[in-house]
Amino acid sequence: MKQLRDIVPGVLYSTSHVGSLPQPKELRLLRKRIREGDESAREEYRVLGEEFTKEWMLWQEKVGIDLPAGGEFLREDMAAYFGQYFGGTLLDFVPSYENRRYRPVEYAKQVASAPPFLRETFQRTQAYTSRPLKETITGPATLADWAVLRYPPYYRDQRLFRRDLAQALREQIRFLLEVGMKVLQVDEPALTTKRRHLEDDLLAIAETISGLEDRVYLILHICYSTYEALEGAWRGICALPFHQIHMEMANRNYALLPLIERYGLAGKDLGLGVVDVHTDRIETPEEIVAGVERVRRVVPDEKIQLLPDCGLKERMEPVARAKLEAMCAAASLLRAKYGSAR
Amino acid sequence: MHVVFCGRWNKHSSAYDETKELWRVREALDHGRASAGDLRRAQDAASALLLSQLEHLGLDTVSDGGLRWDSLYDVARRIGGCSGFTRLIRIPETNHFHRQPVATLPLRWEGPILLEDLAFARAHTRLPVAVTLPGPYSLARQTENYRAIELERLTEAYAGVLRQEIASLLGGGAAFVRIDDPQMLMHPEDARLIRHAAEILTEGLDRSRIGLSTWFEDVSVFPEYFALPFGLFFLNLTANGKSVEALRGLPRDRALALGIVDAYQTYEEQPEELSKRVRSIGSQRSESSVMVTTNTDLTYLPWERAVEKLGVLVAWARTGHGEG
Repeated sequence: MKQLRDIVPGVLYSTSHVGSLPQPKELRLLRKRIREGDESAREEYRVLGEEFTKEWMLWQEKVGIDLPAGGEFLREDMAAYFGQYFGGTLLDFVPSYENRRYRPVEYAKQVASAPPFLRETFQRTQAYTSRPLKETITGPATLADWAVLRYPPYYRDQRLFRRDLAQALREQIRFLLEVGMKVLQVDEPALTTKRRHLEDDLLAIAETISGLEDRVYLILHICYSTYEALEGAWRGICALPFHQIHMEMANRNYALLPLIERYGLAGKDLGLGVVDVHTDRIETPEEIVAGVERVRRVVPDEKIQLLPDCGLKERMEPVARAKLEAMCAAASLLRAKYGSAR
Repeated sequence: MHVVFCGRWNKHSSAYDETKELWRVREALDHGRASAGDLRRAQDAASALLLSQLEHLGLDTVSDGGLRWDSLYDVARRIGGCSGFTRLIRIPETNHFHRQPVATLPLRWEGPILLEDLAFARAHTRLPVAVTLPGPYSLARQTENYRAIELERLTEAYAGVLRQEIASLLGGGAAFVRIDDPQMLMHPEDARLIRHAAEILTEGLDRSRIGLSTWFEDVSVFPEYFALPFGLFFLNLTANGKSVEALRGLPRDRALALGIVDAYQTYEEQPEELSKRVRSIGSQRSESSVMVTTNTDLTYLPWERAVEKLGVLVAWARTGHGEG
C-alpha cells in the first residue's frame, strides 16, 4: 500500500493544498466574454490560465509546499467543468450560502464519453516542478449531487447516473496515467451530505478508482460534513482504497477529531485541514501548531499532512498566500520540535 | 384544485435586472459600499418581481420566496439571546449553508421578524400570502451550542419565541404559517420533546392556519406524526409510498398539501404522473379538497426552471387532471 512517505520521502508534516487557488478577476472576465460568444477570448483565457498556474507553481516551490497542485485556474466550478465535458448543460445560478451561488449542470441526456481534457494541463503543470504534482478531479458523488436531472432514466435511477459518471471519470484517469500521474485527489464535498444516496455514492467512487491503488497515491477530500453524517458514512469511506483522507478541521475547531479517535483511519494517512478557507483571518503558525498537537495524540506524525480545510478559490490572493505561508511556517515549527526527517 | 407555492425561492437569476441588482447590492453591502436601505430597495424590487410572476402563473396561494433572507435559519438573527453567526453549517440533506447562532437562554421575541415582509407581499399581490418559519427542533439542531444548553431546553425556548412570531404573522394576515421542521424525521427518538415543543409552538393559536412541512424522510418514521398539533400537513409524494401509508392516522379535521412536483430536479413531470401521485392518497381525502404544491422549496432550481415546474403544476391542475 502506498503511503505518504512514498510521495514526500523524508519530510515530516509535509504540506499541500486542496487544489483550487484564488481565481483572478482577469480569468473571470474572459470567461464572461466566452459565455457571451466571444470566441477570440478562448486562446487568451488558456494562455492566461497557464501563466497563473506557472506563477503559483513557482511560488509553492518557494514557500515550501511539498505536494503542489496546479490551482484549477481553468475550472470555473469544480462540478460544472467536468459536467460540461460529460454532456451536461450549464444552467443559471442557484444559491450556496449568503450571497454565494453556483451554476448547476443539467443532464438532459446520457453522460457522454469525453476526450482527454485534463491531460495537457497536467503535463504542462508538472513541468514547473520536480516534485510530484497532485491532480484533482471532482468525484462522481459530487458531480451527481450538484447536478440537476432532466433525463428521465437518470431521474428514475440515480445509481445508473452515478455509474455512468464513474466510467467517464475513469477514462480521464486513464489518460492521466499515460502521462505519469502519481497522486490523484478525488474531491467529494457532497459525499456525506445526502443520506439517501450514500450507498450509491460509495459504490460509484469505488468504481472510479478501484484497481489504481498500487499505481497512484489516492486521496479522498471530504469537507463541510457533520460529525453525525461522517459517523454514519465512516465505515464505508474507510473501506474505499484511498491512501489518504483529507478532512477540514480548522473551521470546526477540530470537532471531527473524536471521530478519528473513536473509529480510526484504517491505516490511512490524514490530510489535516489546518486553516479555515471561509474566513479572511490569517491563522498564526502557533495556533496551527496547537491544532496539530491535538491531532498528533491520535494520528502518528508520519501520517499527517498539513493542508487548508478546502480549496482557496473563494479567498482573495493575499489572504490565500498568507494562509499557506502560515501553514508552512507551522510545519517548520513542528519539524523543529519533533524531528525534521525520518 | 388549490395550487400553492410556499417557502423559499432562489434569489439568483441572471435573467432579470431586479435579481442582478439584488446580487450586486448585496456584494456591495458586504464590502461597505452599500447601505441597508439600498439593500432593502433591491429586495423589494426582486420580491415584487417574483410575486408578479407567481400571480401570472395562476397560483392560488403564494409566498414572497424569502428573497430577503440568506437562509430560513437567519430568523435567529432577530431573536433575543441569539448571537455568534460566525461558523458555517450545512443544512442537512441540502447544499445550503448558514451561519450558526449561539444561544443564551432565556431567548426573547423582541418584536415582529417577518411581519414587514408579509405586509410588503400582501401589498404586491391580490393572492393570499403564506409565510414559512423554521421549526424549533431543526433550529435548535442548527444552533452551535445546542449540546451545551441541552437540546430539549433549547427547542422549547425556540418554540416559545416562534409561537409569538406565528401569532404576529397570523394577526398580520398570513394565509397560513408553514413550519419547516425536517430534522424531526431524522431523529424520531426525540418524538417526545418534539411533540412538547409543537404544543408550545401552537398553544392558543388558530392551528388550522399552522402547517408542518418535512421532506427528508417518509413521515412514517415518526410515531403518530399526524397527531402533532398542526391543522395542515405538507406531504412529499415524490419519493415513495410510505408517507401515504402513514396517512391512515390523519384526523378528518386536518388539511393536506401534497408535494407532487419534485423541486430538486428539472425533470418534467407528466400529467399522468401528477395524477397518480394525487391518487396515491386513496380515500383519505377527496382529491378536490387537498392543496397541491412542490415537495420542498423552489430554492434548489434556477429561477426559470422553477417557473417551469410551477407552470406544469398549474396547467395540470387547471386542465381537469387535478379534478381526479
